[in-house]
Amino acid sequence: MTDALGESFALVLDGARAGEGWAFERLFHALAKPVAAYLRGAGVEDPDGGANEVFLRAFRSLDRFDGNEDRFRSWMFTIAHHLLIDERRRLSRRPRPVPLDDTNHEPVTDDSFVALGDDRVRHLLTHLAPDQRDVVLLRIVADLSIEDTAAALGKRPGAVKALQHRAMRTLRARIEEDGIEEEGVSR
Amino acid sequence: MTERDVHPHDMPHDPLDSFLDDLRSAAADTPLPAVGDALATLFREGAAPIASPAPRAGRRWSLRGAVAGAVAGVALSGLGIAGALPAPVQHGVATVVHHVGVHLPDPETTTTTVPAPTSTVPANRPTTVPRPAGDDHTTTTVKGDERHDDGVDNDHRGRSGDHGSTSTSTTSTSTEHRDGEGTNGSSNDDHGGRIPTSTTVVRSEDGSQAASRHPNRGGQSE
Repeated sequence: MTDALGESFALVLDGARAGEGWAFERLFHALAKPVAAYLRGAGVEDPDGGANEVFLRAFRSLDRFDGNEDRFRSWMFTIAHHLLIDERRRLSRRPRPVPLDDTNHEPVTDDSFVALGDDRVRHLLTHLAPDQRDVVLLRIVADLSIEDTAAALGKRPGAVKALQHRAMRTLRARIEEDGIEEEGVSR
Repeated sequence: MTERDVHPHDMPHDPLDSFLDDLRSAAADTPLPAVGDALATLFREGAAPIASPAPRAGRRWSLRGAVAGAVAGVALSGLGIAGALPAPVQHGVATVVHHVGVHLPDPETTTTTVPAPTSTVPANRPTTVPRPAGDDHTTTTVKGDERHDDGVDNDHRGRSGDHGSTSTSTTSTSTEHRDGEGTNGSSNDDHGGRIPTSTTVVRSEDGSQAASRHPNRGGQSE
């Protein structure tokens, strides 16, 4: 999923710090897909625009970063998570439109969830609390470690483990309840 | 049942694993986001060089050093003012701050003053024994078990150490020196023309004792 830069990371990072366009592009292609997938799974309305904003913020703040490729990846998702928090705050302040002629619809259980491509995945992720969903997405989609996930979320590793445990328990119970696995929906 | 007992293909399928696999696949299938105008311009034209984070780390360490130095300085000053530093350190701090006009205790220049010993109660403290009733204004003062045969004046004014309740006694030495003992005043008093004196001894709760000597008018105690 990720086009790791490997040993060329230091060279690319130095090029980006020097303002080289090719270096920015290499960094974008290395991490744009998982960043967009994270934003999409977390429910950002415009995941592509969000991913662009994440990279612009990162490129403007390269003087604050110091570390290897793994640290850079974790740092990028920290910026993405901050953008997600900004999005959630913005949506919480915005009044939700209610259709005048169709008031009998069930309330939306998840305020701003926008699915990944899979309907089954989307269905199951809606049953998680936002912080549990963040942990699952950072651990599975972004492929971050417990420590890097904790750093991105601003939590302790123990708290991340607890959130992951509760998320897995919720997902397992939901899967067994829905009987999705017997339907062979997995593709 | 463990993994060693059952072949992986025969292990019961965990539905959660299926979900996680689907989640990974969905993320991998996410298309590369469209590049916006700002990023496209950045890729094409580049940007101004960005400062390296190394000086920032240096500033951070220098800031930490400044904070640590300030904390150490405050702690050293406090201990120096209290005189609680080890002697060599205390001397160094006192020497340094002396140049700025602050005087701290310096163990190498401070002389230790040994307090003068307080007055001690003599071993043979005189005791005043009241005379029986009817023996007006006369008490016999003896010095321990020693009588005043040597004629030395034993005026016990201001002596302390007599612990007991507060009491006031008046010792008159006006007329009872027939035996020539020197009790209070000069010995061998021949009672000729000498103004008799009396001594008032006041004892307090803490054992201090004060005495005053004054002329005894007519041998009356005050």
